[in-house]
Amino acid sequence: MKHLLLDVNVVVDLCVTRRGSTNSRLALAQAKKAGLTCWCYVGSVQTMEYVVADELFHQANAAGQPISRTLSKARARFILGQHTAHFQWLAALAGEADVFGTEDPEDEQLILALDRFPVNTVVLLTRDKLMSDRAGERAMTPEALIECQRAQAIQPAIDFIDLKTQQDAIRPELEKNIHRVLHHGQYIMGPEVKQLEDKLAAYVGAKHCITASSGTDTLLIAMMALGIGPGDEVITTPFTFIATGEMIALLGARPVFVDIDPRTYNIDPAKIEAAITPKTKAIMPVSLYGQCADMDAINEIANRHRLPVIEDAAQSFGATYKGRKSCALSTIGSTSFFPSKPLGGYGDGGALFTNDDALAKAMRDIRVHGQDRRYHHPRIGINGRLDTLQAAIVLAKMERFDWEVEQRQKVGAGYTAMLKESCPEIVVPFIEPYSTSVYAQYTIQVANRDDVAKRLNDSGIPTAVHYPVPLHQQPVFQALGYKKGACSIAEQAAENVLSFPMGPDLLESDVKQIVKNLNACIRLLSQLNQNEKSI
Amino acid sequence: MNIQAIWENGVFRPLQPIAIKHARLTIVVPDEEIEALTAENVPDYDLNDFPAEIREELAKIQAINDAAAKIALPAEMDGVELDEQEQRTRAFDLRNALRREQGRPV
Repeated sequence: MKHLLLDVNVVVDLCVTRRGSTNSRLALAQAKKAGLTCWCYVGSVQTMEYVVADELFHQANAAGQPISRTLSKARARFILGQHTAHFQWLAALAGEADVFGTEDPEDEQLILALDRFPVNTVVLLTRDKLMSDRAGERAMTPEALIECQRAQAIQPAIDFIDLKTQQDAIRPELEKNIHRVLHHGQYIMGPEVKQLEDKLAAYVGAKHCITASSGTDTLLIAMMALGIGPGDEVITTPFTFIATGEMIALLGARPVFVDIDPRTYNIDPAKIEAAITPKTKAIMPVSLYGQCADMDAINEIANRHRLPVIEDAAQSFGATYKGRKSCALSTIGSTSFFPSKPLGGYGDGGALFTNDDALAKAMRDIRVHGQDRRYHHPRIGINGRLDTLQAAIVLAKMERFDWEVEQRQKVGAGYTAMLKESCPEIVVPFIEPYSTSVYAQYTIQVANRDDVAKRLNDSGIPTAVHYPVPLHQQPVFQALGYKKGACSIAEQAAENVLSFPMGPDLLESDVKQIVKNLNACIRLLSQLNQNEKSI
Repeated sequence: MNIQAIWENGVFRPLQPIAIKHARLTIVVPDEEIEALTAENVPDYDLNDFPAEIREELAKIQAINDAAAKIALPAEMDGVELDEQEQRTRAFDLRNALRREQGRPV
């Protein structure tokens, strides 16, 4: 159980003292502590207002201090506004309006609304027996909830990435934006796409922003715009997600993998120059885990060899390098709106940034089948537009983004401080003094990584490995001929890295719990190791 | 004056003939009578059995309600109810009356 949908009588119990109201309040206080989300149905607003007002009106009169109906309503609105401020409002949907043929339309709407939640995650909290009978097992009285919470202390689970809390925080803007698209109906290249591009360009400080269908397609579009094709070489890092190398290969070019800096996990600029050949057409560093590579050093090498630089900033949107924003640090910046990214949508999406007018035009054309005007195609392109709906969603997320970046940095710093103190054997992330990270991942290095991960997962702490196999060792790139040890630092990192839950809404108490569990896990494994040796 | 009335299907019926000047008036029903109507045995909990933070949360809830009791309206707004609002009030009265009649909480 993660959600409570509140029947009107329970909300009224919060607002007026009456028989049974203490139990409703008790149940909700416990639920708050347990991290359950309380939902009120938007369609019930007026009923709540009038019932609370009515109760206040009658109670005042019964107490010999009569008040007017208007005053009782004013007080009801104040109380409801205060109590529901921490609740989520569940929108009333068109499908919940066809209830006039039912025994009780008010009840029926709430019961229908329950269907929107995943199975076994929601309970309708009500003191109404008739409503309980109608909702069946999905209803619970406040008393049953109190007992349930007393019997098995419901502990809020730690998510690897908590998109739920973020959604709760931006729900009104999100729903408004989505509904606006549904009503204007411009699902492809609607006004939200341009709005988002303008906003992103201004945020990053780039002249042009071109949104696209994914953070993979953005890489493809960027390289197509640069004319990269068969026989060409693109220098990149082996320690990244497959998309980086995959898009190079998809164009018939050869990815040339250069080993990483052991502290930042980003491509080591000192090793780039040796990999440049006459066939090299671009350098593509990746801003891994949310921190930019050493872009000045990379740009300097690129300039000397007249090569363009594509920053694969899928994980670093919002990060800074020497005071400048990621995505505006080289010829082209490319980012991703994959849901788990620092600025993520509710599906695939991405964006490209450049200050070069000709490149911007080329990338815009390539995004729409190489079209420069309707049904006129001077070049080959792809179907690579960002959906208007995704743009509307990312726009809603932009409202909170600055705060989220700040929070991510606080959470990252909190992890590092706690880990340094309690688990000194752990390698914590290193952030260059001239950079800020958005901590797309909080990734450490630990010995016995797989054992540690298993034990942490068993104790309710989700983890992930980014990435277990470097690209030069992937089967698909075997034909490139890289041998074991070709990128030894990346290979070693791949064996030891472990990512922890991360996000702007991760609580300090969660970080403490994670570090505590990790510490316990390391001590236990160390003890087991000692025992094995002594046997 | 006090009059005797019976509660029948959600309606009060006076037991003696009586003429009342206005269509709406306030009838004071003792709390213990309303309790009987809900016909629910709600258990009481000893709040001391719960953690302090739960009790603090309950106190916060009550503080909001107490603050509302201090809200006053300017004299020119107090008691002024539009016909439409009055109609809505009556509609919700009917809702509440029907629910009470069915033994349900409002």
